[in-house]
Amino acid sequence: MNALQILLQQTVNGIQIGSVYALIAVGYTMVYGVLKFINFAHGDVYMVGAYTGFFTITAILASRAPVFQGACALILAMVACSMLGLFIERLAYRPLRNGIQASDAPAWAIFWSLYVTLFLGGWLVNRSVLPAGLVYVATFAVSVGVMYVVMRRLFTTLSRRLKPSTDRLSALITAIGVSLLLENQGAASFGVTPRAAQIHGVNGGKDLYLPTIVAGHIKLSVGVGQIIVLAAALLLTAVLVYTVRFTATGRSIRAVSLDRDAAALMGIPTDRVIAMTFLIGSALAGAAGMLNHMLTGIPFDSNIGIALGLKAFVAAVLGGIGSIEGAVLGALLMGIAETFTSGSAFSPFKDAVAFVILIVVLLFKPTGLMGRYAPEKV
Amino acid sequence: MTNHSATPVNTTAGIANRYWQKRISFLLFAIIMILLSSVIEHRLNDYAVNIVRLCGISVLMAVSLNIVNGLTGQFSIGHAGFMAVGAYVGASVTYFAEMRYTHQATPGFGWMLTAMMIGGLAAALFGLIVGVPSLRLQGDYLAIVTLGFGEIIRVLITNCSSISNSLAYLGGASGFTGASGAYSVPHLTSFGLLTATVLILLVLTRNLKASQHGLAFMAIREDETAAAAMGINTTGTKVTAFVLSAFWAGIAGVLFAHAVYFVPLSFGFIASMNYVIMVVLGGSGSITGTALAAVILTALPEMLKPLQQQAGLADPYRQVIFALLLIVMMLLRPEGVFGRGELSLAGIRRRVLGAPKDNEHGSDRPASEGDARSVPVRSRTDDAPLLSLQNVTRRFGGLVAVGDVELDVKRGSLTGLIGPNGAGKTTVFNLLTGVYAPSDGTVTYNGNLLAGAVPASTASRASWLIVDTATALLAGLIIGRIVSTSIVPYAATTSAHTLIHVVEYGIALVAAAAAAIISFKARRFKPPRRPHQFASVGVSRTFQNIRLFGGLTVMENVCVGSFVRRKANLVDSMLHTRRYYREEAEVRENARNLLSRFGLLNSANELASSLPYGDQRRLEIVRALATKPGLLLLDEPAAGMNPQEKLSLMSLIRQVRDEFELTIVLIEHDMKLVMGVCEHIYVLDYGRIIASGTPTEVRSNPAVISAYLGEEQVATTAGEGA
Amino acid sequence: MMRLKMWHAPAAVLIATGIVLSGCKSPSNSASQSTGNDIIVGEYGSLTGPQATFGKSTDNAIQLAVEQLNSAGGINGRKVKVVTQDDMSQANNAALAVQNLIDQQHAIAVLGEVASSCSEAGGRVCQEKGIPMISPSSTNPAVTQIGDDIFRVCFIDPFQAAVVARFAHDGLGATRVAVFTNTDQDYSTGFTKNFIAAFTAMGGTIVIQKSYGGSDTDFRGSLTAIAQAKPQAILIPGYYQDVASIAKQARALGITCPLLGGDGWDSPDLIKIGGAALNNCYFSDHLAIDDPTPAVAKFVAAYKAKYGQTPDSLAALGYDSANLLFAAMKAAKSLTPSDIRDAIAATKNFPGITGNITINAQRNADKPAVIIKIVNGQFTKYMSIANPDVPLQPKAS
Repeated sequence: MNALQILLQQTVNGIQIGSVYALIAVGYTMVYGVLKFINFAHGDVYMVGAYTGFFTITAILASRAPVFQGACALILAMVACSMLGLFIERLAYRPLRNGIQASDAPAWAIFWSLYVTLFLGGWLVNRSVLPAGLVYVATFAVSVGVMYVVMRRLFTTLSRRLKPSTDRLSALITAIGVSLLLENQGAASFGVTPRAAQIHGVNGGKDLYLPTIVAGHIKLSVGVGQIIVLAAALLLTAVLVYTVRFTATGRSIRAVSLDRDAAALMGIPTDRVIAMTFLIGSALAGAAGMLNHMLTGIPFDSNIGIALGLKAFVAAVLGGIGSIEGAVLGALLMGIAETFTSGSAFSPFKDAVAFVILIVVLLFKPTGLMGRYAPEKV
Repeated sequence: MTNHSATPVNTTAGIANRYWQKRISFLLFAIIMILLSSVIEHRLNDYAVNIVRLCGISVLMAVSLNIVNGLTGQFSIGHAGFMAVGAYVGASVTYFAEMRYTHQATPGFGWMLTAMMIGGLAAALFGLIVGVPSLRLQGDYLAIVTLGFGEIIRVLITNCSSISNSLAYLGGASGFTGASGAYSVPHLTSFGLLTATVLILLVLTRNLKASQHGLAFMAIREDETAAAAMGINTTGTKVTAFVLSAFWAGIAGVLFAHAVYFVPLSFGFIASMNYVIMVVLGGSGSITGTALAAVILTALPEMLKPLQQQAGLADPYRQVIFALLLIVMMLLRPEGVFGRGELSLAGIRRRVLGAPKDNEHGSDRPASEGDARSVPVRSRTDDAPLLSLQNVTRRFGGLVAVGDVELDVKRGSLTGLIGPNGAGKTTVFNLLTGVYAPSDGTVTYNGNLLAGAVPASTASRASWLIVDTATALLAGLIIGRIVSTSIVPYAATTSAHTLIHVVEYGIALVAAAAAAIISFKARRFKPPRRPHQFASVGVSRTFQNIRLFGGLTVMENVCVGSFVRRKANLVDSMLHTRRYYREEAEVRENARNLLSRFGLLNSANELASSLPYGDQRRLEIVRALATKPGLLLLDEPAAGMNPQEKLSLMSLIRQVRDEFELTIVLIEHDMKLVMGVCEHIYVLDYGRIIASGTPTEVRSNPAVISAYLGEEQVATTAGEGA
Repeated sequence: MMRLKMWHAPAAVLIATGIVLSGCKSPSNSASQSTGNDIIVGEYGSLTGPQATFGKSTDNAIQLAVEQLNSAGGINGRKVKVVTQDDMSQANNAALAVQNLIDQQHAIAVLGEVASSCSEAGGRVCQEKGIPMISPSSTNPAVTQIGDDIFRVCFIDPFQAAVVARFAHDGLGATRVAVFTNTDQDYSTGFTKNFIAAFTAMGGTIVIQKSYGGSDTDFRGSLTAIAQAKPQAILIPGYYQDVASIAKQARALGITCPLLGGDGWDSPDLIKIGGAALNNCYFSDHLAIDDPTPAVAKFVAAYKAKYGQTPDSLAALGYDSANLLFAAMKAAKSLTPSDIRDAIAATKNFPGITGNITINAQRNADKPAVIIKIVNGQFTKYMSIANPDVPLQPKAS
């Protein structure tokens, strides 16, 4: 039956979109769980994951076997993004949370040195006979040293004057700042032209699609790329759920998310646990960025993370923010709802549907589908 | 922050004098500003004119958003959605005026004002529609709903011609085009009009911030539960703030539409975020700060352009610099440039000259005697108990927190409620103040049913049944249509058409049936009274874990308590009418009296959070008294005080009871204290009343001794506290 | 006290406004000092934001044209300086950018924009101030309807859409066509409207119409629905990065019919992203980059040498708009905006690289559209259509 085939095909399509949302949503939900804070820069970490994958495939490992390329790109994207997540947390969110301290000096020294290297280094390269790489490394090293001394001085003075901020709005604005920084630095560094690359398929004619699955009268088209994304999403989430539920790290993450101050009193290094959640969340977003773009060849530019990040966040809220399983469920549901709407007579309003569903769910279940109800103690 | 008692305002002549003086001087100032701005407009080139216009519109947007985000402490990040509503509705008004009434000539000033009013009201209506359901949500959930609203509006306008052909004149992605496809909205936003609007908004918001209503907004920001306990209808007040803010965003939208070329994306997520940034950067809660930030942030990208071009940087670096400024700014001053304070010349003078802070409240003036009597007196003295609990039970899941409690409180008595930790004492208080609704049983106060299940009338159940079913039917039809047309996207045959309808109506009918069943079951009883309604009938409380409005001054905390008995309405508060001044003087006088009664007058201008612990406890009692209650519930009022302080507090409570003819119920751990002060005692254990009677009776009750006193003796020797 | 305080908020705003105004006054001084005798031409475009890739392409070509002009001696011995303003792909910023170009930088003519909504915003400002503006590639008819100062060097949507409709109907023999529109894009919705009008007038049927949004990357929901309607061709009037993804996902879902589109498809990246999925698809364009004419070849070579990449049609149009303006300046009686405008309006048979351009009475460019067929990953010129109202002769291929 034709309608049945479309029903199944649209469900498959929806699950495949949903799995990308899921990988991003998990990061949102984890950070929200421990910090009660919407990390708007999370979508841009996805973007960096896509770029890392792109450069790995097109520049570093251009002529290797596809499986090797894919595995390396995935690992590199995850590593790069988790480092980025850590760096962002260290640079902006932790000083905001705890107040600027002298211990924040290294991160800021490195950060400013990146710009010094970019501009001063570029200027020096044109005027010296030494190899460019050496000039850049030297500039960076000198700059980090100088900056460290300066920043340490400055931060020590500042730390006496500044109090940590508990205002969630300022945390949100900081996150938007970080997000703008990543998007526009991305545009400045990688250009504004959309990039696209595909493992094992660039111009090759061998598109990564399974032969259509046929069962009776029903023919389903399922992309290999999307299957891998879905599998990765499920696998990584399963690992994550296991980690959070059954390991010591997971216990501390849960403890911090329940009550940060109490966890700190119990001797849990809260800052390290928070850093850990950023690391894990960012690694997953990086994986999503690499997988979604490098396996399917969907083009992207430095703004790709804005819309996707927003949708993933909505998915996380839909599922019940703070709950990892909820984020996955919300993401899949949203993917399916979106596909069905875009196939229906309401296709122009597809982007509104996600929000309508969200609003309706929140009205009936204010904590999202799988969120826990935590009544305030009066 | 506010300084309304700076000068003696208690004489009628004083009020009248200052009343007209202020109004006339403001009017003169406004006229000068409007004239001045009109002159400036003609001396500037179009580029500068456009920037100034955008600055003005940003000020309107940021200051109006500040009402929700800054004053009320809610979290709206879809403000541009309301601007979009205003812009499109306003542009439609002038468009139809031009087509129908002015014979293709540019509509005049009157039409522009009409457009502003209609645009503002339309946005306010949307604010109401969004606010009523979503403001029950808290924090980030509200944020995401407002964000969703902004996006939905944008998507709807972009696809206006898919909704209905009669909306095609909105132009979709092309911007407002009119039916001809080439209409351009006339540029009617003059400097004079913009200046006048900005001035009005600034003054109204400043007035509001200084008023009782403004205090109610801020109380919600500080502590929603405590605000509700003080009789503030939290949902209603939040919706008011939201609608007010949407109204002004709508007006800003109309001005925007008549100033620049706009497309649906002009009102997207990024635009909304920009306004949030302005509020936070300027200092959420600070009107001048937000206005200033709005001007600077609107002009900043333009000012960065020459900088970036001269430095030879790529264009994205402009945004990079902006982002860096934002991050560094938040690290150095997370509360925004002005925090919650306002920019004022007096403040600058103080800073520059180092002059001592003038005492704005002048509150060291001794309280005039005799005024304390203004608290109402409950004169009924018959024997019927004031408060009575019958079979009250409250279950949390399987846990029975309070079971079958029978409790009577005599009018004018001082009743103690004691019991070991976790006995359910605070739960009883929560049941008496509407924080929880009883699972079973009823609470009567002053002869009226206060809490407990009341069967809803058949008429109300029937009408709800119709409303619920119809809503579900409509939703079901839409969902059914989505599902059916998506599985049969192209219906060429009759059987395909049949399938579409079967699926569509099937889903709708199932939804309607489910809704009918749920509605029939769930609407059996009247919805329980909400906490603020308890305060307005005269039940007031303090909290075990102190819940003061920490960011407000001591004086303001007490004034919040008076909110529930206010006579001035929101319009009075925004316009500062005579009624407002009269009441303001009364409220402050009353607050001063109460504060001096409890020895807190000297710290009237300090932030409540900066008070020592014991003073905070006392302030909570003062705040509760300011609601002029008939029944006062004190939850461990003496916790954390030393024995000396406890004794003096207890005698103070007794005096207050006698003076104001109150009925008081108090929870206390210290047995000696309770025995000494209370006339009647109820003992709770494991959620049940195990004993009651006079202190002597209770003391000798074997059940009490085994359940409670044994432990208590150990506890007293271990030290005070708990 | 109280009275004084009430003044502070507005006063503060006024002071801040003053600061801002002093800020935007300054560039005009520095600009006029540094440029001296140069002729200032303004250019506004989307150098950042979602449409930055188009803006950058156009900007590159305009800079190339200016460089070539100045090295060849400029206009009557005076060098031309192009001042570029970024409008961040936002219509309201476009108006601001053009006001800045005219009021602060004193440009006597303006070039821009790609996106029609931005061109309309900027065009209104130019018209108000009597400064001639040439849009390189805005195809929405409303742009030049603003007034007699606004020109363009490309054809307009109704023409292009009719060309594609004519081609679909006669060239492909299709009667059942599906349409897949980007509703966030003025260009895409305009194209769709005009195509449907033209195609149904020829007797064709639009079997199904679906839409997507500007930030979408997955289109299979809509495509699954389109596949079920079994169209003979699908019109996708979008930009190349979307089209490439759509083509791939359509093929994966078993849609084999040809896809049709407009000039938004033209980019070397179309094939790079879409690959084999785009074979045997057609789109209308201003020129074929592989055109063997020497002018095109010379431009492509110069562009490649300067920027290291193949130009797209937006670059070609940007190049033409700049050169047409320069030619008009040379021909104008004097370098006043009104004389330049008259000279532009009088342009006839200007030898642009996108064809011979004649500015018609509606200030649009009269020139034929080219239908390009994608064959084995190559853009090949398939036919040229000058008048879509005339049925095509069946072409043997």
